[in-house]
Amino acid sequence: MSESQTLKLMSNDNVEIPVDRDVACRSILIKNMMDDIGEQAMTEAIPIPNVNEAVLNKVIEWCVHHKGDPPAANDDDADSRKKTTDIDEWDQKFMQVDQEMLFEIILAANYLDIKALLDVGCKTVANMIKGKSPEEIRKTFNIQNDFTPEEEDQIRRENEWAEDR
Amino acid sequence: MASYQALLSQLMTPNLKMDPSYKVDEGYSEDTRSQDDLESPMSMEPGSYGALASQTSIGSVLPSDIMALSEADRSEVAYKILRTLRVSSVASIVDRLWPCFHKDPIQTLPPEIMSQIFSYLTPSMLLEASRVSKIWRERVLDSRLWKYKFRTEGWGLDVDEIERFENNYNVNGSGSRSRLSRVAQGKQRGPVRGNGGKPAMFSSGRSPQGARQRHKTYWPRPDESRTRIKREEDGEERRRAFEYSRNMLVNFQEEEDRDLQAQGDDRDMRDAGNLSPVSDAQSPPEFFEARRVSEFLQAREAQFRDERLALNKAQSETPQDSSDTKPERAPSAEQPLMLSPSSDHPRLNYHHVFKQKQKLEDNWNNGQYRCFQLPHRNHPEDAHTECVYTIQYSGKYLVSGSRDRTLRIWDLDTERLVAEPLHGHTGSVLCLQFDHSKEEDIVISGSSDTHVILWRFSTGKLIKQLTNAHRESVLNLKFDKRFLVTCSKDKTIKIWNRHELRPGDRDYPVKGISGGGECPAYIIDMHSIGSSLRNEQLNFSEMMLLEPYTHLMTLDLHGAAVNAIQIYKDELVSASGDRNLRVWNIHTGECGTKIEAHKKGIACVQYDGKRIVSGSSDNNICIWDPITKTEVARLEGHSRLVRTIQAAFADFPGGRDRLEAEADEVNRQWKAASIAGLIPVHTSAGRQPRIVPGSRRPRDLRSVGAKIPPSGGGSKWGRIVSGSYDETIIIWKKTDDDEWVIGHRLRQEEALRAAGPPLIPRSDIQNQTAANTRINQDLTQHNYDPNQGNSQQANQPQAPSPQLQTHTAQVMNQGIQAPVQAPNHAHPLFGNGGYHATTNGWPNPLAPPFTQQRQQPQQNVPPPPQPQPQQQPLPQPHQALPRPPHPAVASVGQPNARVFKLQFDARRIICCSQDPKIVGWDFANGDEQIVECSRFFAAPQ
Repeated sequence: MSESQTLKLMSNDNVEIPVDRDVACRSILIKNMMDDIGEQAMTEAIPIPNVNEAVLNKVIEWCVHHKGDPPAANDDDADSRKKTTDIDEWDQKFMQVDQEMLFEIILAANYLDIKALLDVGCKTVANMIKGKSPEEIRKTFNIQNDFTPEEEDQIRRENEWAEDR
Repeated sequence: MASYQALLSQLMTPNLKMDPSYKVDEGYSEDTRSQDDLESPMSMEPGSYGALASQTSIGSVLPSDIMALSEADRSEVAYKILRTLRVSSVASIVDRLWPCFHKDPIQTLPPEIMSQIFSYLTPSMLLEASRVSKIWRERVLDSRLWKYKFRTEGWGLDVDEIERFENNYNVNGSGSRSRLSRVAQGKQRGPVRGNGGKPAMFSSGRSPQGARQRHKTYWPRPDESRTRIKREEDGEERRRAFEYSRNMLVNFQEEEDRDLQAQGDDRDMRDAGNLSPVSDAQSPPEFFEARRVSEFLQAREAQFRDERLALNKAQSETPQDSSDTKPERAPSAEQPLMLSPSSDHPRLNYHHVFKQKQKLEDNWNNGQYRCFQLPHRNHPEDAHTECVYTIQYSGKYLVSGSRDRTLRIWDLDTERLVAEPLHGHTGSVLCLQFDHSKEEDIVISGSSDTHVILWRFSTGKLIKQLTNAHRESVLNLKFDKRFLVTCSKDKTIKIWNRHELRPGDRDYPVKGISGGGECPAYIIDMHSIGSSLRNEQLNFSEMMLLEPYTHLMTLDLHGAAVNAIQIYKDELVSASGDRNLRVWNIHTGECGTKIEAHKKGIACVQYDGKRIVSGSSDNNICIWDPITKTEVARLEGHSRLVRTIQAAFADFPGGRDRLEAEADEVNRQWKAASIAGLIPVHTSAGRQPRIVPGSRRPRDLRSVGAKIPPSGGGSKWGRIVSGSYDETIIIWKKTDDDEWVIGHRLRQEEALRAAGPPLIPRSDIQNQTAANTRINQDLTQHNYDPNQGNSQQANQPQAPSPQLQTHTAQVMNQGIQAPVQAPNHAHPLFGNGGYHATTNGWPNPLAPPFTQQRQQPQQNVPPPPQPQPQQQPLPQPHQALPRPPHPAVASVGQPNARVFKLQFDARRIICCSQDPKIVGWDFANGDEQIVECSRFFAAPQ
């Protein structure tokens, strides 16, 4: 197969987006599909029913940038690696989007099975929680505090074991 | 475009009455301003976001043409409109749009993705997050998330024990399969949302079918997950509150499968339950997960049935005094904290378990412990009559071997012997190993009488004696399922088979290899036999069958006594008085690695497949990379022979690759520093600076190029415990920089004292009033010295001579108070140098309070509600005082606290020494919740 084959993805708002085969195959879902049905996949647009055009473009932008990355390590290893929330600079910039877009990118990465993008997305959300007080977290995500003061006291006592760690 | 311009101009005409409250559609906005730009106060009431969303009818006010425009065009229109407004109006619109930019991820993202997000947070961050709201608390405290956190800390779980616990709940009715069926149902009837929720956190490589199937996994709509948190005591309600998360079970089940796979080769039953992805892929996708899980569970259940039967049988066969069982072993049904609230099948609550483990680790770090001893204080007659050279414990059992020529099997719960002492050796028992599992049921011991004896653990019967296994004392032995390996003062190591072997069997020794071990004549050299003969192998092998415990091979390369050995898979590591470590192939006897390790003889060794840890008569402990034969760390802290050591590196899951990657990084930094000229050159004349063991600073590296990092690697929970002839035990711990430092130094002698008589039985301690409890806790702390103030006890009369003492069981007390040290009985290798017979002056802590205690109620009998004052003698004034660091008794006579052997697990260090008493430090420190959970903590590795 030649290197520069192009295939078309169809967003759920019916926009066809042409993508390099290599780029599209960052998605394990698409890659498996290609493996299963082969060249037929090249002729028709592949419907991506859960992702709209804006998000799909964003995801493709990420895949293009990370086209040359080595294939994801064995899942087992990846899981067991020490979890850090370090994100490389380009990805950090890439993830500077509104929360709705961020969450949609995460959902799309999950659906399309692009593990590295899912990880970056999750780390980005984790970083939004990290180091914040409960009140700051509530503010960040527009969450109502539904604990009574008594419940808050009790929880604070229950949590004492892990203070300063 | 023309129509668009027309529309725009139409909109801009002043006569169009625009509702000032008009906002853009609540959908996606191109505005990517971060929330930090929105400093304005939260002016919106909670409901307004919903109101905003429902206001799409506003579209009717607008020309439908506008709504038909593309997103980009509508944005342009909206922008143009906004630009017509005063800044304050725009600001108020921005305020009202605020919720669009701040959305609760829990309402948007499926649980398994939230789990992945949470998995990046530390425990303390997670607990902060648990205070955000009720739904957040539910999710953050999810048991499976904490199980994952537990694993990734580098902590181990005792899978068998957990299964036993969970199955005990499972006996009455609701079995695993009923749970499973509910999971499956939930999956089918649940609303299926478009953008699937395949497992994010624990996903593994899958077939296409598997992958696609996972996209159909149900997760709840946000409103369904708006369930309320429940009070802990309300189990039924709690279950409903967590209803939504049930569908996660399948996903997390994968992780549990993996746990089991990681358990290794010897778990055939379970591995059978883990079907290969290939066969999965061929099953109908809809039943993919369910079928896999159900087969897995069936296999598991079958195994547990067997295990339970075995367990019950073993318990009924094992002689034990059930009345001595401590109250903390109460039926677990009364421990709701231990159960996960999120499952209708009884599952261990890993949040609780994590918490207890953390508290336990804090106790280790802070030196919070209680001492205990074998024998029980009320039963000194159980004790060995002379010093104890070796111990091993596993589960509730401890087996000890002594210079009194006996082995004793102890129940750690009751601190009593479970059977009569095992008599058979005619010399000191120097080494032993036991396995009390039903299929093994064996104790093997080696002695200075040169024999090795096999005992039935459950009956104490002598099964077999390997007479004259060596020419001199058998110093150490180890066995696995295949081999018994012994080593001796006669400088050799011998390998024995544990099961019948025929030529051609996998474990049949490989003879005739140059540089291999020496095999006896009856071992066939398979290579020297012609192929024609090999065809007749069947007859031939029947003839040449090797009975169990046949001597297979001798390894004879050490130049002095072989003091310690360790088997790891097909490798055998030995430590010798010739100062060398050797690594051997257990099948061929080839010695692939020789490390000139220490300046003096090596007394102890441990090998876990990744690093070798050795303790030597040069007072040091060293950590070695066996691949490059380099010393990565040297732990200096003892002032005499390091006799016994156990190291647990608490590796992260991930294995060797990770260690190598870490080591490579260190080497890379060293190279960079070296090129930059930052590495000082040590001349042999110059005194080398003391190097912090484990330090990664380039100039501190002991060896460059090692395949393991400078500390030996592993997590921050790594721990080494070493025991020395300097009469101390050092608990080595890691700093945040991965350096080894002395966490605590325990004095064997102090433990012996602390393990002395209590003034009141323990069961009473637990029932004291609050004030008394506090005092009593002080008393049972490690700094408690029962003899302080009883100076007359420190000058006990001399003990009778060893010859007199050995067989005078009736004067057991004296035997305990004065361990004997006759030169002819000294340890064959270590017992002579500096081994003084000036043993007396050692206090007899048992004598006077012992009589007093016999008036006390039995330990398990609850004390009367109002104990009579004279039954509770609390000589508080002097006992609350802290002890001076060095007891006065040391000047009176030398205490007998040379440490011979120690072992630690998640909770305890147990140690034997020149004293006939075996002492322990329990870092649960009396915390019932820790005690209860610690059975789930795997022995450190």
